[in-house]
Amino acid sequence: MTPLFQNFLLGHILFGLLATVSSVMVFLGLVKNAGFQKIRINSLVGVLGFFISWILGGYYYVNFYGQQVKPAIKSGNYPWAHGIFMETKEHIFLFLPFLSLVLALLVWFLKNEVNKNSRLKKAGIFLAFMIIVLAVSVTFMGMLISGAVK
Amino acid sequence: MDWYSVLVSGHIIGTALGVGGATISDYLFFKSVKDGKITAGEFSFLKAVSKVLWLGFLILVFSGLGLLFLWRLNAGAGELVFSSKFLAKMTVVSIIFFNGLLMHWKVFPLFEAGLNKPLNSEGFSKKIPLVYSTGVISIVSWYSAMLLGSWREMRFSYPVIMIFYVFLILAGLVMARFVVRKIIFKK
Repeated sequence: MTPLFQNFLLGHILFGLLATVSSVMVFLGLVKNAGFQKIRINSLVGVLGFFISWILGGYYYVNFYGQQVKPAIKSGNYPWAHGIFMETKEHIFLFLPFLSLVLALLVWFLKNEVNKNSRLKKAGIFLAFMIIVLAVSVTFMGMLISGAVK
Repeated sequence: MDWYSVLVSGHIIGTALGVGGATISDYLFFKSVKDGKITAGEFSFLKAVSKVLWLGFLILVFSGLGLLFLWRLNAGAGELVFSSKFLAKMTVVSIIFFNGLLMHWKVFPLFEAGLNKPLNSEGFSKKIPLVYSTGVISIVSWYSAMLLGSWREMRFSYPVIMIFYVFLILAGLVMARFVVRKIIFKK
């Protein structure tokens, strides 16, 4: 793997983790009624992190994974790691940045409504929780895919 | 110092903070409830230990993924990633994470609402199983993750490891229930 792709893969992991941690902070901020400034900043970091991770991962996928890694996995001991996990990961990762964008828009533009309307707040908490669950599952899928490379 | 040594050190520090934090947290909880209530000072200690736990967890995750990344670049991590021990460790680490979220979501607000009030009141006693269950899951999971990471000769299959883990949690729950009934409800 060239240093460029190494850095792209590393960036994909690090920005994804950063965005996941920020989503956890948004979730905890909402359940604990923390200050909205903190929640807003974390939601912004989450969106940026997921989008940067998305772009870096996408570039790596198109220019390196498909040509070199995928054939190695398919001819290895765990070909299902691509067939099941990469296919699933790809699709989840397509909408993860947009889910975090929805959450960020909610806490940036509907602060008063979120404070007043408990059902809207619960929906925000649930959305943040779903982002965390999806991000954690995508992380595990990435680990399994990496492990399947010969 | 090369990257591998840095990451292994980070992994050990993260585990130490997590295991230590979970142990102190459970000890503080039982010490705090001895007088039948939780004071603001005791609650702030619990929150401080919880922050150390999260820090340990973050270091553990970042260093763990860093180690996997290094293996991926060098020799490949297939045997490790698909081993029963590793898969069990990942399951336990996920449980630690979601249990931590549950603690912050449900348990800490409960403490906050009941500061300086008797713990054997009807409102709190109904929710006490949730409090000690999350504590038991936390401590058993942290020690299990540490054992799974350090016990190199372990050759058990994934179901065997998970059955043993569930058994430990159930045993911990029975013990915690007994201690809580003795301390809080004086039964």
